Order: sequence, then C-alpha cells, then structure tokens
Amino acid sequence: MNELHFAYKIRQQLNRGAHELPQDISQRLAAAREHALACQKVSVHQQIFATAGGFGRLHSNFSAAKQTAIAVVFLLIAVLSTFLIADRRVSELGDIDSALLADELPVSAFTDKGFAAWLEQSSQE
Amino acid sequence: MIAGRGLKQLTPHKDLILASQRELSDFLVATERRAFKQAMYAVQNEETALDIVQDSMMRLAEKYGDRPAEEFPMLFQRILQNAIRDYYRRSKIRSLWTTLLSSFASDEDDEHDPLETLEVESGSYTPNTPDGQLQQAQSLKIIEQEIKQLPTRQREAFLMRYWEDMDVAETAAAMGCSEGSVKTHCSRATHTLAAALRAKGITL
Repeated sequence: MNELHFAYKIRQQLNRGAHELPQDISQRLAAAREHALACQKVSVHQQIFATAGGFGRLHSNFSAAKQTAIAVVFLLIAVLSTFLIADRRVSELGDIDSALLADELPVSAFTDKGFAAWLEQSSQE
Repeated sequence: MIAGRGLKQLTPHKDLILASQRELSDFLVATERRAFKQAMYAVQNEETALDIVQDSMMRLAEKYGDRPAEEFPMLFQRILQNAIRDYYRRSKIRSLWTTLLSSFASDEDDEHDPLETLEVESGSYTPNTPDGQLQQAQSLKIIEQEIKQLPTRQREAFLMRYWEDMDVAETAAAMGCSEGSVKTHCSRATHTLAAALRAKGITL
C-alpha cells in the first residue's frame, strides 16, 4: 500500500471519528464559532470604499441618465488626454530622429561597438 | 423595483461584511471538528482541547478575519499549533511547580486524571452498535491512539497534509519549516502508523 492510499484510508477513519463527536462538544464548538464570528476583523479598505460609495449614493439624487452622461464625459476626457500625450510623445521622437539623420555622424556609428568604446575612452581622458 | 433598488443601495458595506463573515463561517464549520480532534490528539483532554480550538477561532477572526478565504487553512493551522505548543509550555512549567510544591500541598487539582481521559474516549462511541460498527469503532480508537503517540511534528505534518488537504507549501508555511522536512515528517509518520497498525492486526 503506498503512502497516499494509506493516508486516504486513515483519513476516512478520522473523518468518521470527527463526524461522530458527542452532541455537547459540537454544540460548544458551534457556540465558540459564533462568538469568534462576532469579533471578526473586517477589511478597512472594504469598509472605506463601501461607506464612501454608500454615502455618495445616499446623498445624490442623480438619475441613471445623468450618471451615464457623467461617465461619458469622463471617458471622453480620458481618451482626449491620452491622445494628446501620445501625440506630444510622437513629435518628441520625431525631433530626435530628424536630429540624428541631419547630424554629420552617420547613424551606423551609434551601433558600432568600437565607436562607443572610443567615445568612452576619449571622455575619460 | 425602485423600492428594491433603494434597499440594496442602503446596505452596500453590510453586504461585503456579510460575505466575508460567511466565508469565515463556512471555513470554521468545515474545520472545527477536525481542529478539535487534532487538539485532542495533542493534549488528550476534552476541556483543554475545546479551549484551544475556541482561542484559535477567536484569534483567526480577530486578527486575520479580513484575509482572503484561501489563506484561512494555513493561518488557522498555524494558530492552532501555536496554541497547542503554548499549552505544552504552560503545563511543563505548571508540572515543575507541582513537583516543587508537592511536599507542601498534596490536594492540587490534577488535570491529567487518567479516569477523565478514559471516560472521554469511551463516551465518544455508542456502545450498543452492531458488530461491524463496533469493530470499526475499535479500529478507529486504535488509529487515534497511534496518532496521539506520533512525535508532535510528524503528527502535525501528517494531519495537515492528509486530513486538512493542505499542500506541501502551505503545510511548510504553517509549520515554519522547509518543504523537504514536511515531506520527511509525512513519510515517517506514515511508516510509523502503518507499522503500528500492522502490529496490532488492523487492516484498513
């Protein structure tokens, strides 16, 4: 009999034993459980978000249509700002590229290991 | 419809608390009997075992009640084993004092009265059962006896792995040791148990 099979057999027996606990013991265990649950620590984050959400919902009389409109406005702002940021980034990259191409130094020099080593050496001197 | 929505909006955070309470409650319902038995194997006294389980439940709820449900088995086992170890430590100190003071006071209330444990064990099983069930009850008694006699670490590892369904990593985290030693403890416990049961003529 291998270890797992043996353990499985033992487990079945133990489960039976746990199932046949005397009535008073299971009652006291249940009472202990109830007592512990009454003192359960509840997540602070959950409570804050939940309370804030509940507060917001309780103290605003927005209809569903108004809520949707606000959501759409926020979405538009988010999309526009993303677009503008991306656009600025693209133009910055374009500037760097054109500077590189217009430079006297050929582009291939930047991928040349020897050139990098020479640059380092000369800057150290 | 509107009234229903209003009611739902009024109790959003209560819902969340109830959900996490339900998770903990379900976990404890599923675990409490095994936890009690585990404590019984370790301390062999019904009252003490109940106290230990109660304290462990309380500590889990108070300190870790906000943790995700899948962490409960590992946390609870760690708390339970620590509580059992604390009890051992306290009873060691107490027995030291008892031996020191025994010449002065002889009528200390002894928690390790052998009659008490005997009564507990015979009380756990209904006596007038059919022959097959009686035999099963007897073999269960012998198995439990052998589990009680395992070295503490081996018993912990064996019960967590095979009774609590925890994997090697969880057991190692709960016991505060490496995964390798969990495996060693488990296989030693299995061999010891198998040999002991074979010697007593118990076939599973």
